[in-house]
Amino acid sequence: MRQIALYGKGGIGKSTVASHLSHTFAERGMKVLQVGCSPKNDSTYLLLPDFPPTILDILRQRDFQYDDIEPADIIVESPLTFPNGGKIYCAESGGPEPGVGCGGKGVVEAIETLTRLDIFKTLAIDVVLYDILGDVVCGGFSLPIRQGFAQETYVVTSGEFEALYQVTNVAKAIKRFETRSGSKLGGIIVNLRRVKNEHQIVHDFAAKIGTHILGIIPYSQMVKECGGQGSTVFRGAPESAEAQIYRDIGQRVFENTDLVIPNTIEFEDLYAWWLHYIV
Amino acid sequence: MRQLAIYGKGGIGKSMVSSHITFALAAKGLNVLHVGCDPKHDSTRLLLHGKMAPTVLGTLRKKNFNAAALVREEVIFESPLTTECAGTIYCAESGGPEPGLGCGGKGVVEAIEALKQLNVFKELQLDVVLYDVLGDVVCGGFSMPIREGHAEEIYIVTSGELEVLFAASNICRAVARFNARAGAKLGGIIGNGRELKNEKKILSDFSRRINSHMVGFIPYSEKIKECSGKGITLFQAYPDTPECDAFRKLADAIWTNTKLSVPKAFTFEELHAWWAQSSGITTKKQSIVEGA
Repeated sequence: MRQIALYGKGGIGKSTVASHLSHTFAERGMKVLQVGCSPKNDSTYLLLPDFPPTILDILRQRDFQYDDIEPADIIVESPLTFPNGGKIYCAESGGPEPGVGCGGKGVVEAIETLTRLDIFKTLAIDVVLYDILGDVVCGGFSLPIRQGFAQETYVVTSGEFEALYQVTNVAKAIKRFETRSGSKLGGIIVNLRRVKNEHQIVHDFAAKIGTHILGIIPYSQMVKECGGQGSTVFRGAPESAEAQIYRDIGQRVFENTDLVIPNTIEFEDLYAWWLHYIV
Repeated sequence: MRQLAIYGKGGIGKSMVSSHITFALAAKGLNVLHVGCDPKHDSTRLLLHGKMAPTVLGTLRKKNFNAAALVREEVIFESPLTTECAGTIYCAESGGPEPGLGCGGKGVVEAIEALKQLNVFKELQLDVVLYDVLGDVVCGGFSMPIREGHAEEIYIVTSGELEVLFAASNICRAVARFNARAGAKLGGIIGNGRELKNEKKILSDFSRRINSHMVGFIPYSEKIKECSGKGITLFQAYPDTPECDAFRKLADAIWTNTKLSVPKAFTFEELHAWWAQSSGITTKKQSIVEGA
């Protein structure tokens, strides 16, 4: 079983990428579990008719008695059908009520619960995809990297400075926990945002931190429109160029074996480097 | 002195919008303290010529968290853009844990404590304190500015996109929750356009539905991106553009705003039904149910 973590700055399109990856894996006949790790619990929105109950909500209802919880309480199967036994299962970690408690607790509890219930074996999962809120790489949200649940980490970024900076933070976290866990960087998935010299920026950036690009998604109103309809491009515009691009990314992630401990870059160096593409 | 907090989904342009508000308020002759509340500590970057200020938490760490040893000049920095303003721009960054360790909200808690201890509000004769708060985790730490009654007014930056509005609605829930305890109210919605069809209408509709109003709308602009890249605001590069006027109007509207309300958050189902109606976009949820 492969466990994959997806990080990136808030709003960069992680959940969209995650849902499309899950879809392509299921098309290959794999059983996929997508775990949304954000208190917003909207990671699996494009794959389900409604929001699933969150693991933290269910735990709260049962007074954190793991023994009282059934897999069906926290895992929702997507009604989307795939050939060769492919399935997408969805879970959302959930989090505290807005404004109260710790945001990362949901992730910690979610992984603990999935492990205790032995979900991966019970459902014969082939790949687990953690879609993780990226803005605070605090202790909670770094858990999949820190404890080595996810052997592979992918980052979604544009050529915008803030997005790249967030990637360097994830790189720092991977390097920090290198000896302890063994989670490595599998590569970069680019969501273009119409920045000057953006292709050059992201290619050079990937080389700079010692990794590679798995795919470049053009800035697209169409992807946005499909998102607004609550749909992946596979369903909303199956014949589009964008659908083909997402499929190619899925294939590259599927085949990827190039995992690295990334180089880290300090803020000032990154900024000076980035600026000369822009000005 | 007025204390404002700006919230919104990650990536929506909170820091960019906040920096422009800060500049426009200072240009009117006000003394403004802009406090970035995000471990990334890049909120005040556009006000400091692209530089990143040392953070409150980072400085405290060096002093073994002995807040009494903290000196104002170590954590509060006057913006070089002040020379273009009748008022003064001060910048501070809360900071946060090292990537992957500890609690993300701790920086905010410590920063606000430190500012209080340094008595900066009085000593700098501030008219406005603006907190730019990371929006994705409205956890205990990040809700500090509204929970403890520091900020009386909250503004939410949002586009017309469904998932961004959903985040905005969740922030409204937190505001309503803390209103009873601390009295913080919603001052309004700030629209940051993402070139969506009917976006302005969607946003004013949304604002009405949550029992608030749209206090300003910034159209999508490549110029904004260019300036962010250069580490400046639009006021330095393009002072005579409609985008810049939109920010001036926004700052004026906030400064004269008296319409504060306790917001009503949407449930997910309500948001979904409303969205379909307001945007004119039919969702494909039924076909997901049918497995197609």
